[in-house]
Amino acid sequence: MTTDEALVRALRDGDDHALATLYERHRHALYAYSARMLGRAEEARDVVQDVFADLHARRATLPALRSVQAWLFTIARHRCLNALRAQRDHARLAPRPADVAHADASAPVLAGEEVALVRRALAALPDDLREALVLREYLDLPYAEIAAITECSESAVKSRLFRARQQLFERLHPVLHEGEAS
Amino acid sequence: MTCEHAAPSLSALVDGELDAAAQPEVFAHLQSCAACRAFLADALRARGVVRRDRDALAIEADAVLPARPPGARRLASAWRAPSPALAWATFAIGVAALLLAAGITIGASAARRGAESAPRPAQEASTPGDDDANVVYVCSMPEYRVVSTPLPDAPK
Repeated sequence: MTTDEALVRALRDGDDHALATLYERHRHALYAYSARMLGRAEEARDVVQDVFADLHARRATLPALRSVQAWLFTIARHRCLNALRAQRDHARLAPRPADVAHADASAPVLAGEEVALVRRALAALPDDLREALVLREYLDLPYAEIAAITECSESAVKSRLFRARQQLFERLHPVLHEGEAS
Repeated sequence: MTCEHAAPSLSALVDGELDAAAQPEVFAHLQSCAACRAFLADALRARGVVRRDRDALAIEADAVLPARPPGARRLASAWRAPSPALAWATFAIGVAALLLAAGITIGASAARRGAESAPRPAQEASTPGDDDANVVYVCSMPEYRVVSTPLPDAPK
């Protein structure tokens, strides 16, 4: 299988099929990251498309990348953070996701609702904690790569993941301990 | 080791990122601490739920995302301008075709006008009918022209 780095070199040399291969290879992960960071499918789709439009536009001047995946996620991350800022600017008076998640966490969980509860609980986490958890749990990225994408140290990643899990477990208590309650 | 120190390491243990050197101490703490064992159990249960969400996201991504990246789509549908030589050749062929069509049309109508204005001896011999039938008649049976010449006087 052709490596990502070789595909980027081919793209730089004018092989546009390389772009389609990179897209096929990374679109699910980028969508998962963007969807869980932003909470909206349409915005996540736009981020993924923007990332590849950006890659295509800059193909002639792409530098030699150590990790193409990390580079793609770095672009997606900046776009997600900008979109989150825009969301907050436009919805200061709307109910915060945290309030909704706490309210739902106290209610009984029916079968099939646990995925929706996980999504609400994730949305209620602070951005930096949610980001670390999504990169780890949804994308299985190692700590070193999470640190590179989020521009922090590996020990900071470790600490964020611990705090993210603490808060997530608190909100998911009805799901995680459903059998014990009955 | 206290819970405060062990807890972040438990998170790393779940992720397979705990240093081998730190593992014996963390395992020893787990044997004696029910709260940390509960944290570990919660982490594994939560992972199961998150994985179900992850599977749902993969299906959602297929439904939401286009099959091709935006850059590739633009390339596929891009119209490429022909080379100047090809453009001139296409133009010349088009002009020639137009001239040919115009010549055929003018020639046909002139021939038709000429046929209509010319005397049609065959018509005198033929039965009344439409013009096209007469034209065909004249062309296909030229001997009838002989019939149209004045006949000698009948013997008295």
